[in-house]
This record gives sequence, structure tokens and C-alpha cells, in this order.
Amino acid sequence: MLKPKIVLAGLATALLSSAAIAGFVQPAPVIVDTTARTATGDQVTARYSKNDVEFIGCGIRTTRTGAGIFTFGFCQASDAAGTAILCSTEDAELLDAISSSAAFSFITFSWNAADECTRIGFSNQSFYLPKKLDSNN
Amino acid sequence: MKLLVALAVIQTAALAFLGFQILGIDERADEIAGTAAAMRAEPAQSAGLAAVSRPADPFGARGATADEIRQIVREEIAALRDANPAAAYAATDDPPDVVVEADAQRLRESVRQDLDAYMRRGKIGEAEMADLQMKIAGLPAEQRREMLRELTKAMNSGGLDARL
Repeated sequence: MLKPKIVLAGLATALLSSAAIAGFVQPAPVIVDTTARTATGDQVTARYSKNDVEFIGCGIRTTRTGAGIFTFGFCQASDAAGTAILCSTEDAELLDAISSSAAFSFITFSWNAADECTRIGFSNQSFYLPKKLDSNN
Repeated sequence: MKLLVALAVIQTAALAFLGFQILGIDERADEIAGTAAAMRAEPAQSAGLAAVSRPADPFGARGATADEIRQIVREEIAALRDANPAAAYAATDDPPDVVVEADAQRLRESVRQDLDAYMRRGKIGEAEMADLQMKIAGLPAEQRREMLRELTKAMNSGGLDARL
């Protein structure tokens, strides 16, 4: 029979080793504020949330025609309550901002009464990365 | 008898006078023609090489007839039209801006009709979205922005299930 001290020592070692590879984590669940017309959230937290409605992200669509090139950007989000928003923009500087996004970003954006994006921001910090990604469940 | 002789002398004098007048007119006409020819010849002589390269006056000293002048004007107008197609619109034709405006209006209406149809259906597929964006791309800037706003509003209203 193992001595209790040895068992406790083993448990402590296991716990400490797990904590040693954690680092600082600061998840940001998606929040959609239709009054302030602002949405925030990080992609990892949204993707691995327990619900099936939460998401946040931005993108760009470019179409070439005989008349020229049409490019528009968009950001969209839905929080855990199902409050969703989509904003779009043709503004060149906001399109540049969308282009600067990366995987696992924290995203924040705002829109006006016409559902046009007026502010788009991205933040790529380690504390938005997941502890580990080993499942889609 | 004396009267007849007097009349004959007077008639002869009058005819001689008229003859001299006609000769004088002829000389003046010749002088004028000579001066005109000299004026046409002078610029060519004073321009040196440019005069040599200038094509010969097809009409010569006689000048151009009315029909020839009309032909020249028609040729010049045709040359202008070839050089600048926009200038070819006559006063009775619509100017280019009106034509473009009418086309844009038709395209805008087509986009709106498509959007209404998709909203009635409640959803829009990926290929349909691509077609709609192609149409929106053909609109002038302000109308493009307007249609993009309408598409965004439609998706936000929950009345149009779409994927971006």
C-alpha cells in the first residue's frame, strides 16, 4: 500500500505540471450591444462556446466586372442570447483593417443606423489563444 | 441730210466710247485675277520647305465651287467624328451621361427586384449571392452603396438567410 505522502506528492506534481504550461488566458465571449451598436468577442471563445449560436468574424468580398472592381468588407457577430448583427463597408481604410485580421483574433466593431461598419479593430494576443485545441466538440 | 450725218457721227462716237469702257473693264478684271493668283502664290513662296510639302491647290485660280466646299466640310466633320466619337452625338441624340444614367437605373431596379424575390423566399444561395454582387458591382458608386446597405439590412432583419 502506497503511503499517503507519496500519493499526495504525486498529485501535486501532476497539478503543478499542468499549471506550468497554462500562461495567462483572458477569454472574451461575444457581446452584441445593439444600443451602443458595438460588438466584441474573441474567435476562439466563440468557436468553443457551449452554445451553438455564438460567433464573430469579418471578411472581404471582391468582384471584378467589366465596369471595374467592387470590394466590400463585413463583420458579423452573434452572442449567446442570439442577438446578431452584420455590418458592411466599402471604406478603403476599414477594408485595410479587416485585411489585418488573423486567426484567433479578438474582434471589436461598431456600426451606424444604416448597418454600415464605422469601426473595426483586431487584437492578436496570446491570452486569446485556447489552452489546447484537440476537439471540435 | 445734215441731220443724218450728225446722227451717224454721234452714234459712232458713242460706240467708240462704249468700246473703250469695255476694254477698260477687261483690263481691270485681268488685273484682279492676276493679283489673286499672286496672293495665293506668295505664302507658298515665303514658307520655303513648307510650301514645297503643301499639296497643290486642286482648285487652282478658279477657286472652289459651292458643291466642292460642301464636300470638304462633310469630310472634315467625318474626320472629327472619327477622332472624337463623343462629339458625334448630334443635338437630337441623347448625350452619353443620359444613356449611362438610364442603364444604371435599370440595373438598380433589377438588383432591387432580385433582392425582393430572395426575401420572399427567405434565403439566398451562394451562387445567387455571387450573381447579386456582380450586378451591384456594375452600379455607380452611390447606388452601389445603397444596394449594399439594403442587402445588409435584409440580412439583419432576419428575413434573408444568407452566408457571407
